[in-house]
Amino acid sequence: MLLVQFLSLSYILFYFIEKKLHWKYLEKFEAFASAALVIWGVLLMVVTLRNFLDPLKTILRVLMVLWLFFLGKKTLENQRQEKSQVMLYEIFSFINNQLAAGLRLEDIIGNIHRVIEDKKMGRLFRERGEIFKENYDLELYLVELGRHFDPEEFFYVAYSLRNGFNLGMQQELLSYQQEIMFNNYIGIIIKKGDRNQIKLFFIALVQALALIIFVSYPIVIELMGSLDYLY
Amino acid sequence: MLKREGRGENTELLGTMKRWAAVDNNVVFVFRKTYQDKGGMLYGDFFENFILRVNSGIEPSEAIAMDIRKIGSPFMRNVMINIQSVIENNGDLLMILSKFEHEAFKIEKTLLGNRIKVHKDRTLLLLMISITGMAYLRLHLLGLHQGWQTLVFVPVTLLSVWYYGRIIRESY
Repeated sequence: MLLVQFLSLSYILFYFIEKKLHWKYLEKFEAFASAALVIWGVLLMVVTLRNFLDPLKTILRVLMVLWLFFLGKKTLENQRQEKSQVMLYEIFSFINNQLAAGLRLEDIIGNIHRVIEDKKMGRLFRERGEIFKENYDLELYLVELGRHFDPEEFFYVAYSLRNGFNLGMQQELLSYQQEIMFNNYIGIIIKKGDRNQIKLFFIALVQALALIIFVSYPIVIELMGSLDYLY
Repeated sequence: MLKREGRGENTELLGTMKRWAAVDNNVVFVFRKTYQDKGGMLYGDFFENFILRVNSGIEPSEAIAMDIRKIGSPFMRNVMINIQSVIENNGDLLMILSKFEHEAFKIEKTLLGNRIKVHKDRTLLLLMISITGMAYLRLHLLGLHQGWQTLVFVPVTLLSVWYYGRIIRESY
């Protein structure tokens, strides 16, 4: 019960940290919070288990908690990264395609929110697009949006927008970048397939375990009975 | 509308659309001609509704926006959003359609690969589900059934069927 409480508390904490904080502070805060949480968990474990202190068991428990904690953290990070990669690819391809079709950048920026599936981000893009239409300040637009993405990935979107706005089109360069992003997107699809394969295998394993328990239970009961008869 | 992709439908559809866009850079013309070519296709309802609405006096971009949420495939939704934006600002349809045709080809190829990868595990899981179900029934018939067996059997099968459906929906 304690373990469940500890894990759920840590997950809730991380969820709020991810949602509320700026990405710049996030790394430091995450490192500090993870270390503090781990120490807190270890202390709790020691305090609760001191009455029947078995060193090997406690070490194993602590290791299990640590493993679960980092596994959860890693999966959360991966999910976030994948989501933002797909979103940025969609945005980039939209901008690039519309530029190729001969539209003006001012019109494109007003329509970016249509491509985005995520409700919160879509609302943000729409608001920022409306503000951009009023003052035509591209830098403000990019700075405000860049806060919500990984800076390395967002750089190329910003680059394409700046190119389009200040220099006109540089279609070749942008199309190379789009190809790279598209390959990343394809990689994500392939990764999903691999993951599905592993998941299916594990579910089949669970089924097999249930089957083994069903079949072996009466046999084991009979065996115990026969042992009683023997001795 | 059905959510099915990865069987070459999207590539085929975008190819025909591209060919008609080369004739005339007019969305209504392109959609009408593709609907005539491929009446019973995957997004037939979408095209039919579009043509009906345009004939009754609604603007093309608005007619697309009305049905865009009914398209199951995120890729095709993206394409339609792009087309909508092009119509509103008098852009070049041919350019966009040829780009998306190329992308659709690659995506459908990878989805096919995924399907082939998952196929063996899928059959294995189906076999396991059926065997456990038969074992459960068998125990009932022999009179060896106990309460805890239902407690194990029901959640495990429900979970596996749910997961199975989810994964198949993703990759098929």
